[in-house]
Amino acid sequence: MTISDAQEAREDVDAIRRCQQGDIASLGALVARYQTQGVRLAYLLTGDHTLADDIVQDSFLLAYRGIRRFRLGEPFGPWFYRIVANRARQQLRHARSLREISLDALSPEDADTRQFGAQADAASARRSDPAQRAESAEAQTALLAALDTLPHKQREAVVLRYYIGYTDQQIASTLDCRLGTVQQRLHAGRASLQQAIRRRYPWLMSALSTLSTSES
Amino acid sequence: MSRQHPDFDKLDDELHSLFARATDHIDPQRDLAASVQQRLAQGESVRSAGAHRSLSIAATLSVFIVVALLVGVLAELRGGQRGGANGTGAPATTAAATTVPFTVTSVDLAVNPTSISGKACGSAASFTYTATFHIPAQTAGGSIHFGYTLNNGRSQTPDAVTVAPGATSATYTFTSAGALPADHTYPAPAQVMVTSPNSVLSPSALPSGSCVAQSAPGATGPFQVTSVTMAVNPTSIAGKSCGTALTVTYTATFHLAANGPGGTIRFDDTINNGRGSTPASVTVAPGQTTASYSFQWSGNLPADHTYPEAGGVIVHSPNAVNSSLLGPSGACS
Repeated sequence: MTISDAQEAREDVDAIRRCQQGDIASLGALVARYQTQGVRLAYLLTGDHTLADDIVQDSFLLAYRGIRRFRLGEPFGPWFYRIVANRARQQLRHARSLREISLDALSPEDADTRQFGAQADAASARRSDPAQRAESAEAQTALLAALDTLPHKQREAVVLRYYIGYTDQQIASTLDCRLGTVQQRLHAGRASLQQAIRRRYPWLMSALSTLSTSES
Repeated sequence: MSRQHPDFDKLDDELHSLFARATDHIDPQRDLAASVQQRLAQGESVRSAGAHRSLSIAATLSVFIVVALLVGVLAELRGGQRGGANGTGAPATTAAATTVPFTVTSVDLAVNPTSISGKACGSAASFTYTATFHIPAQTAGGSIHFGYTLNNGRSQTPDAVTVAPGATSATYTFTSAGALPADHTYPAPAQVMVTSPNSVLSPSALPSGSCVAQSAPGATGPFQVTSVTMAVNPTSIAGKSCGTALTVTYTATFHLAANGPGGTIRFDDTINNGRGSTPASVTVAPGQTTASYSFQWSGNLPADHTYPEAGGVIVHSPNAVNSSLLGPSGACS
């Protein structure tokens, strides 16, 4: 842990303590610190930027409502990301049951719409900084399309591993499942992701070609 | 922990890098802190997926209103301090002659053309929206700051108009142009949101009807609902007293593909932002291109502003289409 990490952890504890005492304004510090990573996590889980914003907004609301149960001294991030992952799962389930993920962004029967959303974001990125961000935007579009090929449980495990950087144990804790289950999901998810990338977006990763050679 | 093939480590590294690269420009699109705190302050609970878009728009507008009120109060305080300090700034004659505060009492919004019925889908169209701001007589004039949306609130453009002393109205025109898509997603409802000197919302403006899909002569089209538009009456409950009995009528207009064989449209309607719904159906004749269905909410306007809520329909058959969710603007007082 760096000095900066320690400082942030202290600030989190202060903000959480004040939230536990009913100070709504203190939630602002936690929102400022965790909103971006939360939105990115939700975006990777759903593929919908607007829905990701909604999920994170709800997650902060849920976090505040449950903040009295939060044990001071524990890191806030894993607890919060668990709420985000759960909320994303609920929202996707709810959207599927209503057959109405979105009126303006996400069409459940048309995965291309997701790509279009990503491409719109990509276009936005290119506009703001074309030289540096076009590649990032293309990677985003391709990664989302590849993630779309994964069952949601595998997708959760893969995103927590490769985006948040969690260990198997941390993923198990976040998803409230057994370590072996996580390892199975990660194994299958990584293989599917690798296959999807190799088939459709081989330019994304150089290691894939090496790996496919060494596997064969 | 068992070690894996070195290439798997490399693959892991690349995946970490790919995930970081693919998300490094994804940021919250809204001010989440303000939205969350607003929702907490209103004691709102987490709702279903369908409600969130509307809620977040409502929360954003609420924040807008609160900010605008603060700006208004601060502006008034600053104005008072200036006048009290040295009596300069605005001409003395104007200050002496005006006793009415500069406010916007209402905003009308008109769109031209008022209908796109009969126009071919795919054809070009342009729309001119005219906002008319109404101001009480005998004010000192000032600037009206507002935002307008052409896409049902998903984004907005800020602008301002200046009102001369004594003027009782001001107009502002904005335009939109594009091809009419076959999925009827354009044009979308437009609205003007005044933020200063006070907060006022215009009604939504949307050309009626929908474009007609082009098909080969003599061809029989499918039985298909191409879009659903919603209207609500009254459009606003601002100014009504809380506790007053009210009936809100929601009207869904189903737009059907041309030359269709007719049939039964089955759908659910909701009067509470999608949390609950009631199954319903309407039958259309062969060749009919629109059909309407109305449903109502009745009750006393609650002081906690929980009703009336946005209404809409979810079409299940012959195909899945959702309407937008629409409710009266404003709140009882």
